[in-house]
Amino acid sequence: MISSYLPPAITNYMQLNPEETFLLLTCSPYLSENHDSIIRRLADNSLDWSQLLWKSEIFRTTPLINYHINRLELQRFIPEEIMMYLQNWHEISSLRSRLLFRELNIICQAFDNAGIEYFLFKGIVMSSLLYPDPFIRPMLDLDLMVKPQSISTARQIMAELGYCHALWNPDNNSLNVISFEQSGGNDEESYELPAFMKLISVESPVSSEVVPRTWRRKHLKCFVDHNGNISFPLFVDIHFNLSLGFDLQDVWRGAGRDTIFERSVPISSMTTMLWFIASRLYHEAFQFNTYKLIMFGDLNVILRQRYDAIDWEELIMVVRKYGMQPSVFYVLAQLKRIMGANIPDDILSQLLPNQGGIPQMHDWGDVMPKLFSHVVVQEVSFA
Amino acid sequence: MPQLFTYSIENTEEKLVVTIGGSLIRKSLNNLNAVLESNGSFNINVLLSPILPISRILSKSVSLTIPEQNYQGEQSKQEYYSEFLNQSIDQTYEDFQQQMYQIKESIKELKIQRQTSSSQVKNKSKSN
Repeated sequence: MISSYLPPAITNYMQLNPEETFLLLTCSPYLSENHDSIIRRLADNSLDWSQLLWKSEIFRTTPLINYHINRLELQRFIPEEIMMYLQNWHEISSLRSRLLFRELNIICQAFDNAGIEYFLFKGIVMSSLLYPDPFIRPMLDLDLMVKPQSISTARQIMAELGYCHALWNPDNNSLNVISFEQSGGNDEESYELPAFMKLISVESPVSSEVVPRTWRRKHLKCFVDHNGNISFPLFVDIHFNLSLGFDLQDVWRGAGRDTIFERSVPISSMTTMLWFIASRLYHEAFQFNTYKLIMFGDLNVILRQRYDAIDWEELIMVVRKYGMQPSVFYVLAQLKRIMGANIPDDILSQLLPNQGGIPQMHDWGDVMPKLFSHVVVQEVSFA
Repeated sequence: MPQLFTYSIENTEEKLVVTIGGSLIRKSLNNLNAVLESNGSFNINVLLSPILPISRILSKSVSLTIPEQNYQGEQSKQEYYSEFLNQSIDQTYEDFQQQMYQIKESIKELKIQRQTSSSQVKNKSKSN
């Protein structure tokens, strides 16, 4: 019998400061009127924009801040250099996405011609299908899933399309081609092929002086030369599983088709995207110390745009099978509380980690204090 | 249906005995045996990771085997590339502030350059 969901008792609040509140709300492109009014109020009350921008790069949400500032017409509250920083970020990021979308069309055509069974997932599906504008979600690569038996054909096609395995140097734009083996292709504990890369140069929308080192090396992976050209190493990740040890039927279940830029393409099921992104957000925060708040926004987008496509029974089955209750519970519970996401109480009840049984591995508690680096010591009271 | 993973704890003669089984455990035991045979130090993650696929729901770290020869400098090639290929802590706030200061200065310079070039154009068209 399913007990009704009772949220865990809250003994103290995790109080966000104005910058953290702004960041948390702007991680999703779809906000309620109440959230919009909070953002307006905060922008009008002298935020520490430098602190906010720094954190937004850690959270990977910088272009979304630019999107909300423009959408809510808040430009007058923002210092000029901050607006220029955001604008340049957006220009480069959207150009990178544009080039990736162009490559996507070429790759899908080649895979379709070869009869390869595949589907698209992660950022490419989020940005092109579910976001209100395909250029507001930063995207460094394309992610495709293939069946293990298609790996050699997929590799051959990628080589024919001009992709290689290589190391790109963001300090001088040089490309050092390496072999499949050198790039970890024979790693037995892998669930994807080494990244495929193609270097593309186009006219730059910004001058090299305003492109900081961290954009070149990490956030936007680009190189602007003094002739006004910008180069991007475009990455394509070809996976054959979502992680080590997942049954392929759980990975492929529910994959369907949708239309991206007027082309019918196979995409991952929304249920799989939901449990995968929730679990990944949680594990990356606790195991890698990388705080990808953008995934929290992605989950809100999936639930808002494709709620009817979520198969909750399947989600519960997969989460239980692989012991993902803690990660999926803590993330979805907060999504419901903070964003007002439509997640049925009985689903949260079924995801609730068992507090009376053997402690579950990978249960590090609520993800929010971790994401915002808040030290939380719970008040303990005796019986 | 074959069991993927079983787990039990017994208290036997003041010893806590943890018994694990199931098909997913085979790889863990192979890893454990390999470590023990090589007299290596045992890392609990070697045992734990393969049990739960979720422990690998992470951005993949890139493992490279690039020849180190022909590379000059204090930092090895491996270290150099892993700096931006793998997941890592982002820059500190102090570094970011320094970056913002440099960008601010660049924007100023670019503005001055633009003003200078536009006034030169105006002057040219006047003289013509």
